[in-house]
Amino acid sequence: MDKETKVLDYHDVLLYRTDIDLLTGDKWLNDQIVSFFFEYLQLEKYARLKDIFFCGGSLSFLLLHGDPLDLEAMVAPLKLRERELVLFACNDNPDPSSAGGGSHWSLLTYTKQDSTFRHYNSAMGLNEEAATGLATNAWNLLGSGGKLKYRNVYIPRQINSYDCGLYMLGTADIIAESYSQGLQGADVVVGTRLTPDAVHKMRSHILDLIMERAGKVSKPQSSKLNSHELDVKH
Amino acid sequence: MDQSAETKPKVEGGSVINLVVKDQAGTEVHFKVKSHTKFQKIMDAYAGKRSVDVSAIRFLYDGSRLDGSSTPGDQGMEDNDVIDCVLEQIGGH
Repeated sequence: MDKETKVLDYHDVLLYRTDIDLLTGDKWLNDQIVSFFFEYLQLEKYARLKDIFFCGGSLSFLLLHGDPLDLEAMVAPLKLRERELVLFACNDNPDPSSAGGGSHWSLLTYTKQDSTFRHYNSAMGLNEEAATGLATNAWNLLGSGGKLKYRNVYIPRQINSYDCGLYMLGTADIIAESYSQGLQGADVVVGTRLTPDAVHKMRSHILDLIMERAGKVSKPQSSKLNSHELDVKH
Repeated sequence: MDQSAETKPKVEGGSVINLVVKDQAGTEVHFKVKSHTKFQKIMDAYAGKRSVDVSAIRFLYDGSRLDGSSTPGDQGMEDNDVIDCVLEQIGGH
C-alpha cells in the first residue's frame, strides 16, 4: 500500500497531502479538514472557553451510527453534560462501511441554556434526517429527559455545489465567537457575515493555518513548504 | 495460584493485550498487540484487512481520536478494550 505523504500531525489529527489538497480548487471537504479546524477552534482560537465543545465529523458520525448502549460510556470523559454549548459536524453518509461516503456537511448545535438543538444548513432539507438522528442520540447524552427541542435556523444558502463544508465551519466559528461575547441560541446572527466570498476565502485561510503549523510542528519534506508555494504534486 | 510477585511477567512495556476494533456495522476485528505498539501499526493492519486506504481510517477511544504515534500503554488500555473505527466522510453539496 502506498504510504501517503503526511503534512501535519496536529493534536489528534494527522493530515495527509491528499487531505489538504481538498482545500485547493473547488473540492469537497472531508472529515479530516473539519477535524483540524474544529481542533484549532477548540484548542487555540477559543481555548479559553472551557464550556464549549467541538464535536468533529468522526465522533458525530459515531454518535449517529454507533450502538446507543455504548455511547454513554464512550463520551463520559468529554463531560458533555457540563458544556454550555456543543457544536456537531453533521454528515449525511448513510453507510458506515464505505470510506469516502457522504455528500453534505451541516452544523448542529446544542445550547444548554434553553436545552435546544439548532441546525444550521447551507442547503436546507439535505441533511435533515442525519441532523435529527444525531440530535436524538445526543439528547440522551446531553439532556435531562423530556421532549427534544430542535429547530432549523436560517443561514445563507450556498451558491455552488462544493462549499458546504466551509459554510459549516464558518458558522461554527461565528457561533463560538458570539458565545464568547455572551450571545447564544436565538441571539446569534450568522447570516450577514456568511457571504459567498467570505466563505470561499476560508479555503486559503484554513490552508494557511495548516501550513503555518506544519512549518513549526512537523517535518515537511521540503523545507520551503509554505502556504504560498504549495506544491500539489506528490 | 502461588505465583509470586517476582515471577510475574513484567507489565510495563512488554505485556500483550487483546484489542477490539469495531465499526458501526458491528463488525469486530481483534488484534493481539503489545502495549507499546504504535496505533499507526494497528491502523495499517486494520486498513489492510478492510482493503481501504489507511488515510481513510479514524480510530476513536473514549470519544477522542487516537493519534497514530501513541500506544495502548499511553492510553491506559486494558485487555479487550474496544476502539471504534470511523471511515472518511466527505461533503460539498
